[in-house]
Amino acid sequence: MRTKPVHSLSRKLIRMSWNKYNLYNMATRDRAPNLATKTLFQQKWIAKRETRAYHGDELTEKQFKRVFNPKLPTVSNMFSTGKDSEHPQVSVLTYAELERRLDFIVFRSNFAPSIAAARQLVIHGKVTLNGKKMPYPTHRAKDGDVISVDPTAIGTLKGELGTELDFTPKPFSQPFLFVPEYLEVNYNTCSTVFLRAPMSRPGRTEIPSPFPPEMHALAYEYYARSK
Amino acid sequence: MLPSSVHAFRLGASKPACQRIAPFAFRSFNASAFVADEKEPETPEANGEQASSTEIENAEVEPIKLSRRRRKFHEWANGEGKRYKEASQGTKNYLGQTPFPMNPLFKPVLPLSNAIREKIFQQYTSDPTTWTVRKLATEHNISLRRVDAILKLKAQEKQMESQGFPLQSKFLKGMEKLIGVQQSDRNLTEPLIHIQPEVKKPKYQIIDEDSDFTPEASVNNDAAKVLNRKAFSEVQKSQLIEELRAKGDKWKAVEQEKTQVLPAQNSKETNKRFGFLFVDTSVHGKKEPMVRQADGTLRSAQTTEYAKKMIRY
Repeated sequence: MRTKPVHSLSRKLIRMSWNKYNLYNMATRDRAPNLATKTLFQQKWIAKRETRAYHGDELTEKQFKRVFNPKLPTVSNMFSTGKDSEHPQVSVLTYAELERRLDFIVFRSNFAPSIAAARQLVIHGKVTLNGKKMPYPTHRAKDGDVISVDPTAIGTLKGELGTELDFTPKPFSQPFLFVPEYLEVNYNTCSTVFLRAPMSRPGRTEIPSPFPPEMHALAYEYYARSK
Repeated sequence: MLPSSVHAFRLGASKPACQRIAPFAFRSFNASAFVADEKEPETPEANGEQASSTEIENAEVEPIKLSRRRRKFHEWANGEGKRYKEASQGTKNYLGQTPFPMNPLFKPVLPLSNAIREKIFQQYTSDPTTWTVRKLATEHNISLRRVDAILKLKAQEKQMESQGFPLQSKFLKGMEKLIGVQQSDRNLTEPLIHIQPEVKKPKYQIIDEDSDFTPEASVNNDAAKVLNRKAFSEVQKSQLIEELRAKGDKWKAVEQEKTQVLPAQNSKETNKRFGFLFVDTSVHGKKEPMVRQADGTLRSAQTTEYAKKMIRY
């Protein structure tokens, strides 16, 4: 049971949401937590707590442990020439498989203001997969699947059904507006294609995450051990 | 949300002063002058409080402060955070250089503009035989998968348009402005194919402590052999031959082919009746089955020739 609000100003957990309190929490936490004085378990626990609050908050621990895959596609840095061409640690892909979920795809394509809202869109049947209605937010999309959303269900669009709708952006939402590389979005038809699973890239990460790779590595260690 | 200067009001437990004075008013008929003097300084207070309480619906309220954290949020929202409230048109508006201050490694790539996607679709439909998916991908510096996706989405768009679906062009224009997609610039560049490494169980090869794991050091210390792949030297040679043929240097290619290890021929080793299947188990020898044919040819054995025999050297 949640004892504190989702966007609590005291806990300052960062969530997958365009909420202005979430933006404030993100803006005021510009440094990763100082884990130097903590024991190894404490470090892993804190990393897991913070990263899981963002990645898959709506999944329970049991559900996440079922989804978690300890095998990650490692890339060698033997032929890299500098910091820019060096791949980050493979643990940045810990939460890669979550990005295949329908509710995640709807949120990442900027059709919903939060994961919870995206989840609701899917459950209410406003989302189609390759033309067919798909009301399961846990459904994992395959490479090349086309995910479409009903325009009237999108919060930023207002107007009559069957007409071109007016677009009014939500306040404090622009800092969150970007499209990851593994999605191809067409806003004309409110459709997205899921291209491929996020992968390791030299000098950058493909998965949008507020946390540095070190925290992902610790969270990965926590889950790999407990599995 | 309330600005920080306005305090929140709530119903208070204290009674208004008028109530305290009221009993006096009833009892003060006889000694009215005395009571009136006492009353007067209080009445403006009472009136004032009554007036304020009539302004606000219910009985008298006491101001309370917002929590420190909430006040700080309002300070931020009206100060540093104000630039994020309204959308800044035409440019992206991240918290810093990257959207997440704690994770500078996440550098979002700006997507392709709709104009470029229309161009790709138009090129494809004008002549599919010349403008193949591969050609489009190399022309626009994007991957094959993305070209596929763009064509799929645009075909869907045209079909929906013909069926009467209203295209959300306001949504498109608005989002392109907010994300900061430039119309003329090419933002997204990626290789043709994305190779996902397949990680399997680690392979262990026991070698001597002082030896190097290179084919030069020992024939057995070859990574290609352990992974069941073609030896690197052979790969290099075949690549060289291909290059020479592509250039048109036929004679050099033939020479190179001749330098490749071919089955040996020794006319003295002929035998009328037998061919021999053997394995050279010496330290520096190839530990693979070889065949000496009856006519003297020495070659490596084919799998079918030795598979049935249990060679346990």
